[in-house]
Parts: sequence; C-alpha cells; structure tokens
Amino acid sequence: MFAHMKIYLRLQAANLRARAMYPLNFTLILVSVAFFGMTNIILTWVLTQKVPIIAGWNLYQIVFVMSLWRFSHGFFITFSQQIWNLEYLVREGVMDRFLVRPLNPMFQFFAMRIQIYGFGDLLAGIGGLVYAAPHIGHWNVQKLLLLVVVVLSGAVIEWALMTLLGVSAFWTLQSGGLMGLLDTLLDQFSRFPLSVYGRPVQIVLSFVLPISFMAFYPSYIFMDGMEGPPFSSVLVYASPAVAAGLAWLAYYVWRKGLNAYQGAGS
Amino acid sequence: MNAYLALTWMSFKNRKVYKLNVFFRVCSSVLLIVVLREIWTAVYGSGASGLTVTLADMLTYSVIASIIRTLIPSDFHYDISQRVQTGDIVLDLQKPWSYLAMTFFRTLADLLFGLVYVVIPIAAASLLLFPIGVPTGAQAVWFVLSGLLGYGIAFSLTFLVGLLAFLFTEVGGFGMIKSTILEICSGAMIPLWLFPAGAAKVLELLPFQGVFSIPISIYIGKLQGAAMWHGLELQLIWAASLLALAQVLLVVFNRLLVTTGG
Repeated sequence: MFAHMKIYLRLQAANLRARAMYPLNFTLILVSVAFFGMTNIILTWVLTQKVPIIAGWNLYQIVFVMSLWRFSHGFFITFSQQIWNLEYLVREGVMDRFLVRPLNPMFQFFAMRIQIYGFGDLLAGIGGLVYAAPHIGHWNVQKLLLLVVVVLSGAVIEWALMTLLGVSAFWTLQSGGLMGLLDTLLDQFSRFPLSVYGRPVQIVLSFVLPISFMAFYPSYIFMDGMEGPPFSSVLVYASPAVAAGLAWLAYYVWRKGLNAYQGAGS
Repeated sequence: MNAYLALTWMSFKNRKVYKLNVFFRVCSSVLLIVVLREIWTAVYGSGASGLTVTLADMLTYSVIASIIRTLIPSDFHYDISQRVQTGDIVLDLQKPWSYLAMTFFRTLADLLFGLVYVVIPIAAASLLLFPIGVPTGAQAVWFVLSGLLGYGIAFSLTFLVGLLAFLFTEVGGFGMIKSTILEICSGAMIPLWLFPAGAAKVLELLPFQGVFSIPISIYIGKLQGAAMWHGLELQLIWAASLLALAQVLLVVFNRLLVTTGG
C-alpha cells in the first residue's frame, strides 16, 4: 500500500511538471473549466428570480445539489479521466506494458496520469457548496464528515459507471460513444434535483443507472425541513453501499476484460 | 465559387464515414430535449405568472434551441489550432483562395450533414413523441433567414477563437470561455425575457442572442412586425461586423504567425 502511494506521488509530480510547460494555457483552461462549471448556478439564479420555488426546491437547495455533484465529478475527472483513453491504449497495444510489470494493471492504468483540469470542477463545486451550504440547514462536525463520505462515494459511483462502459473497449475496441452518452446524461440531469423530473426518469436514474446517488439522495442529509425523497427515505444513506457494489462490479468486469484483451499485433 | 462548393461537397462525404458518431449525436440531442421539457414543465407547474409565454411555446423554444445547438459550428477552432501545431496551416494560407471563405465552406458541410442526418430524425421524433408548433408562410421564411444569420455569427465567433491559435497555439481555454458566454448570454437555455430587466437590456445589444434567441423568438411568433425587423437588422449588423473583424485579424495575425514544419 505504502509503496503504491509512493509510486503514485512520484508519477503525478512528474505529470505536474510536464503540465507546467504551457503556463498560460494551463491557467486559462483551469479558470475556464471553473467558469463553465458555474454556468448552471448563474442560470438557476436567473430562473429563480422569476420562479423562487421549483418543484419544492429553492435556489440554495438546487445549487447545493448541483455543486455536490460537481465536486464529486471533479474528483472523478482528476483521478480517473484516464478511462477515456482506454480505447486508444487498447488499440495501440499500450496495455501490453501494464500486463508485464509487477504491479496491479488497474493501478498502473489509472496512475498513468491525473487530469489537472479536474481542479477547475473542484473549484466550481466548492464555490457552489460554500455559497449554498449556510442557507440550507445547520452544520456540525458529524455532517461535515458525512459530506466527505458522500463526496467520495459520488466520485466512486461515477468512476465505476464510466469504467463499466469504458471496459467494453477490451471487446469492441471503441467505447468513446457510450461514455460520451453517459457524460451527456450526467451533465444534463445534474442541472436540477431529481424531484423535478417525471416518474419514469426517476426510476431509471435511481435503479437502472443510479447516478442520483451521487448527489441527489444524499443531499437530503444536509437539508433541514425537506419532505422525504421519492421512493424511500432509506435511499438517503445508500450512497456508500451503491458505490461499493458498483466498484466491485467494475473491478470484476475489468478483470474479465483484461482476460479478453488480445493485444495489438504489428 | 465552384472550388468552394466542391470543398463543401468533399467535406460532406468525409463526414459520412463516422456513422456511429451521428447516432450518438442524435441520442444526445433527444436527451437534451427530454430534460429541458421536463424542467420547463416543472417550472411552469411551480408558478406560471411572469413567465411571459405559454408552456407550449416554451417547450417549442427548447426543441428548436436543442436543434440549433447541434447545427452551429462550435468547435472547429480545435482544427485550426491543430494545424498551427503541426505547421499544416501554412499550406492552407498559401493556397490561392481566402482562408476565411475556405473555412466557412468547409464548416458548411457540417451544417448540411447535420440537417440531413441529425435534424430530420430529431424533427420526426419530436413530431411523433412531443408535437411542436411549426410556422408557415412568411414567418417560416424569416425564421430560416434569421437562423442563417445566427449561423454566420456563431461561425465568426468560433473562427475568431481559432485565429487566436496563430498567437497562442493552444486555444482550448478560449474556446471554453466562448462556449460558456454563449450558453449564458444567447438564450440557449433560458430565454432573454426571463433575465432581470437590466441584464436583458445589455444582452439585447450583444451578438450572442442572434444565435439562439432571435431566430427562436421568430419561430414561436414572439417577435413580429417592427420588433422582428429590428432583430434581423441587429443580426445582420453583428454577422457582418464579426466577419469583417475576422478578415482584418486574419491579415494581422498572419504576419505574426510563427510555426514549424509544413
């Protein structure tokens, strides 16, 4: 474990140095990712000037849920955006390299690089949380600790879902389209809390593609005076379990995929 | 002129190679339409007073906005940046034709491609699943004209971002800032009439509303008569000035361009 961490830090320090080569573009992208992440906050502010309560949610509550999602998403982007490159690495035969080294291939794959632009999403997320948090309920140390657990669970859920789709590249050699679709889905449905949508959408996003456990359900833990969530109030605390289950599934399918991987001939 | 149209046709045929991509583009658009419809239905259910137009008009607004979104050229600045990095840009600039026009006719292929392979399926789907109003007669003609002017504005904005590659090589950050401003200020997500009065006044002077707000308002019949003429006039002025600015900057930046290879 300790050895893994040491290797990880070494690799990422090298990554950071490589990134610092174009400081202007680096800073600009960081700022613009953060700005882009705040678009929905601005648009929601505009809308709530006309309609203060949308489907029972006020501005601060809506911003809290979308920022909670964006914060988790920031961790996902930073530490595992690499999954987007899997199809390319499979096609080019780079995966061969990971299989012959004496370390877990999955660790090697994700340690290859972190995506620093994820910091922009983290900035936007933390900005929205700080803006909304004081207005939605009372805070104490327990709740802050729970918030950490929720954020990490959210990041693991997105990681697991993306990995499940990305791993299809081992068989089909292309997974970008599928992942792009999930990305659009996450992007669009994180605009507003799940209560806004009709029953069919709620069922799909809770039990088929459980992205609502990233932010929507756990957000009830932190909001005072809200009616219970759709379906059952047990779901509010289910995020860590959902994350663990999906992570196990993703790792299992990853292993299957590695076995199916045939390398690239030349 | 023939050479430019040939370029459009060639790029059009190239696009056809990526069939799966088209499928996912259609899926993304339909998804966006579904999300927006649900959101607006919920918003109108929470209090419709002060929202200016009817829910039916607002739903039509979202469908047309989602379609325009897939049609406008928004990311060819990456291609320009790529060609500056590799040095291939020199080949484009040496050719005996206008680089601005060449880029325009190349992106026109995307518009044609989108109209045939993306808009028709979406339009069919939305007529079947969620019927929307369709303008007729003169209103339809003015909508198409307004849409084309909006296309010109969107093209110029992306081209200007692409030109920055002549100075900075990498332009991903600038492109993202442009997209964010367009998303907020154009009426792509929220119509300008729902903005606070002061902000709306400012946004009505900027070019961004010409891409989404003006054409869609003509479509749903919110802009009519003198107001519509004013809108079209504004679009024309902005499209012409941005294109002129692009041409001037192209000449200036061309002198500053330093690149390798070729």
